[in-house]
Amino acid sequence: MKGERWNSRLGVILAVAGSAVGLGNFLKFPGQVAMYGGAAFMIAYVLSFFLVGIPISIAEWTMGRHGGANGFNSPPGILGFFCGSKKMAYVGITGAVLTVLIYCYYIYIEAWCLGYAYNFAAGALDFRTLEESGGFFSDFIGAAGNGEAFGIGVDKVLIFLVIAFFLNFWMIYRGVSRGIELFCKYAMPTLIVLAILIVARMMTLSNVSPEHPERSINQGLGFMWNPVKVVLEEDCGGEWREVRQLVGNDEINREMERIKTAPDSDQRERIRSISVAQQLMNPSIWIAAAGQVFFSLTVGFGAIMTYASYLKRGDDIVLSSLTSCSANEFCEVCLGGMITVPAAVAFFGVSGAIGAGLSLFDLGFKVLPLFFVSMPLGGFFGFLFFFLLFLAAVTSSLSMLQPSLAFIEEATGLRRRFSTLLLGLLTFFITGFVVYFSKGLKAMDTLDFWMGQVAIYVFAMIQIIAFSWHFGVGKGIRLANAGSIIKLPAFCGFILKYITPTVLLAVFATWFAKDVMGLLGSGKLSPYISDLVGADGKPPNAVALMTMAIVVAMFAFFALILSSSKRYDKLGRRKK
Amino acid sequence: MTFGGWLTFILSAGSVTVLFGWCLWRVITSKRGVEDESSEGIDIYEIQNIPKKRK
Repeated sequence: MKGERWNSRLGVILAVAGSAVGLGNFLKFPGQVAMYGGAAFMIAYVLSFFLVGIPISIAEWTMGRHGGANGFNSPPGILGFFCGSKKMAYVGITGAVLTVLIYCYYIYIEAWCLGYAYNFAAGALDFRTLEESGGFFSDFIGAAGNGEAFGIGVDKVLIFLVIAFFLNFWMIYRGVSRGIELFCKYAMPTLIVLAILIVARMMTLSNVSPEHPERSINQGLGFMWNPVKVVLEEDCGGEWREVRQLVGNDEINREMERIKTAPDSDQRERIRSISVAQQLMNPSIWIAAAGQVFFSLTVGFGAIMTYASYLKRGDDIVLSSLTSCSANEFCEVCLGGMITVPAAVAFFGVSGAIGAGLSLFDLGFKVLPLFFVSMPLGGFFGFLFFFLLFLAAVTSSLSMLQPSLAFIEEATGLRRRFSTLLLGLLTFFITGFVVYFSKGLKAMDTLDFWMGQVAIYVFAMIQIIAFSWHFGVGKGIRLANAGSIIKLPAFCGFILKYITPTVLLAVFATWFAKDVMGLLGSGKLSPYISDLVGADGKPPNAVALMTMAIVVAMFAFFALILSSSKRYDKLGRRKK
Repeated sequence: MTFGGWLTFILSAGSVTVLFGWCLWRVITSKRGVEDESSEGIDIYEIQNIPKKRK
């Protein structure tokens, strides 16, 4: 909608912070810290924050405000305008397509959170074992077979999906200030208060597992944050392999005693300490930390530049960018880092928690529900936790819709009512496809990999190169500083021009070579590639192929809209 | 949790809390940013067919 603006500085900061604070803060970050060791991971994490996260964020804010001040609010418009080229507007379509496609599966997960919050509030959840918890989750999301998610009832995801879907569209229909800003202004403080309440409850829990007095929240915190990792290793044909991590003097002494007393055990098993420096030699820790910062801050999506385009020409961006990034870090480190993994370890013990899974879905939707069910007042705190996740997810999903909505309006001149309807229909069918093919979450996984990982990396690199090399880092910094309350120091130019693109490229190349093409490490081709081309005598996966067809169709549709719009024709012939 | 663990946690959580608190304090207490001289000399690109934005 023409002339839309944020109502207040705090409003836009909360909206951008809201787009960044999501499920990853509460479910993925703690698992990563635990897996890679507290201090070592945090060193890599903090460096990545300042060398990758903040610079890309500032570049996005700068490009967004500049584009918005000149009448462009969508990633294609902003990037095209910033680079003075219609071809770059076509490249910018990536920002609109990837956000809307990520929305189409993210809304599905958002509905899980709402469904779990409702079921906890209604007292409908009662598990005794991890298998029961996992069984409920599988039934709820329809993972057993395609179409299974479409059942009606509060034990199925569909009704919650409809509610979440309409809530998102109602907010974006209301507009930037009356919808997104208003929602985030209430949701973000609520989310932080809820998280603090849950953290306070966690820290005062005692005797979580009466039959295992050694298991405690303190042990869980130690598992996450202890800088020196102590691991039990076993000899596998001359090569030592890590069996599990040991936490706490009791457990270490017990294992040492066991190894000493067991016949020949000292030759097959050993206990080894891994220092912070040794941990930092592992390249995986750097990839994980940079990836966590990058995805957590929602930089590279095109969402921040769209939000920043609703600022006025003289509005602050440097401090706003830093504030929204630090708000995300506060939620991630101080709140997210205190809830999930300590709870899982206190309940299952270290090996039990690792066995149950430290991945986002395992931790969030199988392990924690069982923990809440088992603790006093668990229904209440379970409801608070999943409602918190739901709020965090909504503030993120709103930012995923706005870039494509802005693009449709900008390119076609459609009024808000019709642009919302068009986007609603598009996302309705694609979300329906994702939810229908719920068996093994194949459609969701495929979209997440190609859009939520590969496309974001590529688009972030395009943005930082456009900002630092095409536009010119000196001009970019002066533009960022214009109107800003705090100024970027001169050395930021060096970081923006050389360090950030290099780190981003190195992380992407290593990840692509190692985890996607299998050129390093395991030597296995990523299943996402073999799904598309077939491997080991298996034909390509039909659902994965259909998902990619949707991706291509979305790119083609948005490119068609752009090519038929006269709005971008003069981008290459602007007056300088 | 060991002493090193507590130290890691307090340093990590403390630093992001201080950073967030400082930023929030600056946002709340600062007056609105104004365009200053540093922005002069930058081409303010205008698209010719957007009359509203024309200088």
